[in-house]
Formats: sequence, C-alpha cells, structure tokens
Amino acid sequence: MPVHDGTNGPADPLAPEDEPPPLLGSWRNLYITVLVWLALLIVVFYFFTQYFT
Amino acid sequence: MTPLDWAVMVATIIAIPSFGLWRGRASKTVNQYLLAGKTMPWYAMGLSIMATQASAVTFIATTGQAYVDGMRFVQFYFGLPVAMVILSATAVPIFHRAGVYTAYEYLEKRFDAKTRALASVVFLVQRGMAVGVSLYAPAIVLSVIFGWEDRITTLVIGALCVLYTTKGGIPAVTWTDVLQMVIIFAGLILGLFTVVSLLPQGVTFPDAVYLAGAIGKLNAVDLHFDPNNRYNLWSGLIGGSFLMLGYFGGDQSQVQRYLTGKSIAQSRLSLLFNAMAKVPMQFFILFVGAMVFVFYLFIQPPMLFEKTAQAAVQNAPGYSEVQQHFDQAWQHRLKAAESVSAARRTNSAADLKAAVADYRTAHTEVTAARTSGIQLLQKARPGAFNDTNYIFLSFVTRYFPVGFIGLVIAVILTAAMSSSSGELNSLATVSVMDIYRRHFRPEATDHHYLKVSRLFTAGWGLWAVIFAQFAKHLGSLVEAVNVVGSFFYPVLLGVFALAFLFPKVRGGSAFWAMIAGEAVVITCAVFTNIAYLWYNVIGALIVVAFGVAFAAVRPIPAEVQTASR
Repeated sequence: MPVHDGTNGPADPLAPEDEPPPLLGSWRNLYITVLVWLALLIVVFYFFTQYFT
Repeated sequence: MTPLDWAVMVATIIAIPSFGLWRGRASKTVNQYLLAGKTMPWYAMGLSIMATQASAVTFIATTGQAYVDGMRFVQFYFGLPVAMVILSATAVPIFHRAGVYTAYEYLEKRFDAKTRALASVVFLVQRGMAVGVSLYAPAIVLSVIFGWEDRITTLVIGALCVLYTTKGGIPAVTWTDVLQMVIIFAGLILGLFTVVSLLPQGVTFPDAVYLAGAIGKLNAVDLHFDPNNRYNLWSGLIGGSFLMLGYFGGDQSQVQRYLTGKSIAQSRLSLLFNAMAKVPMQFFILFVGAMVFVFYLFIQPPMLFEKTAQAAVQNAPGYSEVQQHFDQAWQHRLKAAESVSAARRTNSAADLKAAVADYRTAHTEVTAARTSGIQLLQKARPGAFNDTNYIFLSFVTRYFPVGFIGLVIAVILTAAMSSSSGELNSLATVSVMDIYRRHFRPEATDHHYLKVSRLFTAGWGLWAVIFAQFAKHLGSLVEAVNVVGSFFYPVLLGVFALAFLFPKVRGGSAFWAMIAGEAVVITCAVFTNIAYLWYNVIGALIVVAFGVAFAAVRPIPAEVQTASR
C-alpha cells in the first residue's frame, strides 16, 4: 500500500533510501532479520515454558 | 543502608544527571533544546528510547510481577519488534522529511489544525497522567527504606527532574539515559548473580529453575487465545503491536527521541536496536523476579511485603492465627522444595512426581494463607491492596551485599528521574510547539520559545508531582501506565494510519474519526471485560474505518483536489 508523507506525495515504504544500513545490504533484509529474530525468541520461549512446566 | 551504600547512592545520583547536564550544555536554541540539533547517533537514541521504557517501574514492578504472576508478562512485548519494523519503514522517513518538532505538527501538514490540536491534547492528557506514575515509582523505594511520606518523596524527585531537564533539554535527557542503561544492564546481571549465589547449599541453579517452572512461574508463552486474558501470545503479538505502534509512532515522548537523529538511517537503526534487544531484556528481568521467588522458598518472606501493611495487619484481631497458618504453610513448602531438589538427584521419576505434587499443594497453602492475611488487612484498612511493587526492593535491601544496595537504589532513582525528565521534555515540546506557538504566539523570537519551553517543563513537573499523589491507588504501576496508555494510543495510532496510508482522507474526516474511536474505546473500558491490550486494535481500526467512511461520504472540495494534482 502506498504511504502518504504529507509533503512529497505517495512513496513506497520499502523503497531503498539514500543511506543503506551498515549491515545486510538493504533495509528490507534488516527488517526480515528482526522478524526472524522475534520468531526465534517466541519458539525458544515456548519450549522453555513447556520444558519447565 | 550502610555508609558505603549511602556514598554509592549519592555519588551515582549526582554523577548521572551531571553527565547529562554536561552533554546538554550546548542547548542555546530551541532546536538544540528540543531536538539536540539533529545530531544524535543511533546508539544514543536507541538506549534513550529503551531507558524511557525501562524506568524505575521496570525494576520495581516487573520483577514483582514475575514473583506473583510468573513470566507471562513478557508476551506483552512481542508486538514491539513488529511495530519497530513498520515504523522504520513508514513513520521515520516521513517525520524526518517533514522537518517537524512534533508528530502532531505533521498532522497539520497532512490534515488540518484541529486534527493536530486534538492529537496534541490527547497526548498531553495521556502522558501527563503517565508522568505522575513514573514519578511515584521511586517514592516506593524511599518509603520502604526510610518510611518517608510518598508525597514528600515525589516532591523531591520531581524537583530534581525539573532542574536538569529545564537546564539541559533533550541532550541532557538522552545522554543521561545512555549512561543509565549501561548501569541498568550491569545491575540486572548483578541482581541475577546475587540471587542465585544466595540460594542455600545443595540447591543448584538448574534446581532453582526447575522449582520456579514446577508451579508455573516460567510461563513465558501461552498459545491459548482468550480475549479476556491480558497476556497470551495473540494479545501480545496483535494487541501489543497496535499498542507499540501507537506508543512509538504517536507518542511524542518516543517520536522526539528518533527525531533527534543525524539521519533517517540513524533513527531507523535506533528503533531496530530496540526491536532486537527489548524482548530478551524483559525476559531477563522477569527471570530475575522468578529467581527471587525461588530464593523465598528457602528464606521465609514476610506475609505482606509492604511494611506499613504488615504493621497494620499485626494489630488486627485474628492476626496470630493467620500468621501461624502462613508460617506452617511456608515450612511445609520449604520441606517440599528441598524434597524436589533431592528427588531430582535420585533419578526416580516416581519420587520426583510425588515431591512435585506435594510442593504444588504446599504452594497453594502458602498462597491461601497470604490471601487470608490480605483479607485481614482489608478489614483493618479497607481498600484495594497490591504489594507487587515492594517485593524486589524488600529483597534488595535485606540481602544484597554492602555497596550494591546503594548502587541499585541509585539506579532506580535515576531511572525514574530520567524517564520522567524525558516525558517532561516532550510534554513541554508539544505544549510550546503545538499549542503555544501555533495558537498564541506564532511570531516570537527563538530566545522567547526557549524560555517558554523551560517554563512549560517546570509547569509539567509541578503537575506530575500533584498527579503522583493519586498513583498509589492504581495497583501495579507497570500495568497502570499501560492501561492508561491503551485508552489513548488507539486514536493516535488510527489517525497516523489514516495520514500515512489513506491519501484521500482529509482533515474533517480524520478529526471526527478520532472522536468516534475514543468513544468506542471508553465504551469498551466501561461496559465490557475485554483485556486492555485489545483496545488498541479495536480503537485504531474504528478510527481508520470511520475516517475512510467519512471521507467517502464527504466529497473533497474542488480547490483541494486541484491543489493536490
């Protein structure tokens, strides 16, 4: 879905910015890494809960 | 506390704000005072954002919550990484490009003045209440240690906050937070190490974890969907995401942090750093609380952790019987816990099963005895009772080594001051930029706005102290802050979603959609049992739905259509 910034018209939220992140090459890759990290934490916490309960 | 603890506490309390003031000494213009001249690196913003959330409440209430309720509260934060990713992709570049002081200033560029004003007022009401709660948290520390009146403590802490926030502005606040977070991390590791080292000989760390888990204190993930249950995976992921989107995308106390960034990339990195670190950190804090629970399996705790409540119940008729019941139940649980630890070494599944069953029965007896104590207290001292916030502090002051007690107390105090000062700074920013400059003095000098910003900071500090007098009636502080937030964040989130995602929605539609959304949230709170995290989902969706619907039936004026082409 296009994002409206109120000043410059619609823009793509995943469009590459001028400055890339210092890791992983693109912001999209960094976002995916964060979400994978979250999924991993939830899985680990779930097994932690099951194991000790 | 020993003289060494006092020395450590006083030195830390003086050193941390002084460091912030020194870093904020260049605040000579409004831009420097409110946005740090847009010079902040990602790690300073990231730690500052984290410190605002990880205030004294984090130490005091979250550990206590794990003691009482287990670790399920961690699920509340599952939505945070999702929200951070969405905001990094949307809000960060939009706010940076718009060149605004506040998030609500952007709403006027996108919608109109009345939508900006309404959002500003919603923020001021919501954050104005939360800052009172933040100030009240350290008052608990001093009331436990010294028996001081809460109101005197909040007055002193509030005065200190106002002093360095007024002087240094957001650079002082941010750099104070950085130093503070380093000390908080060190304090957490020290806390876990201390509590584990205090376990009796023969009880290993794996035993402690097993004992906590056997009665459900390590319940970090609950897959069962129940809209009336505050904390499960689904409320955390869905409701939490909406709450965090509203908090980090629509709350000026957070937006202002990443508006100080050198660039879009630096601001994004600060949010993504939080996305990676926040959930493990909360898990760790809750785990410390669970270990404090295990510690009190072997060292008898007071029946009630709040000293004044314990003193009150001791004078109540029937106290002796209740205390005797509690003592016996605790002795039973102590022996049962020791049996569980011993049975784990015999490798006999039958012995372990029997020991665990007895341990669970004994824990139920302890809980029942404590409940009897609370009921006795409520006969002597009518009103709600919740001593969750006193548990961790009682443990620290009684059992931490000399010197470390002072350090932990100092961390709690400075954490409270730091998060409160950030809130005061953002409240002053919105008051000046969105209300005063926009509606009363649009053409004054930079020096005038700097002076007025400092006056508003002091004024909000005064208000926070007054509100803090009522905070003790709100139950567990950490939940109180979040519950209050859930009444207002939905409409802020909804209006920013309309702004970013629905170009055809105009000012009038957005304004009335916010009114409708707030009405629905209040209706939910008053007339239903829906858990508060879901207010964020319901409220935000109502605002979006009404905004789109209003826009559909209200044609865009011809001049606006022409201007947007």
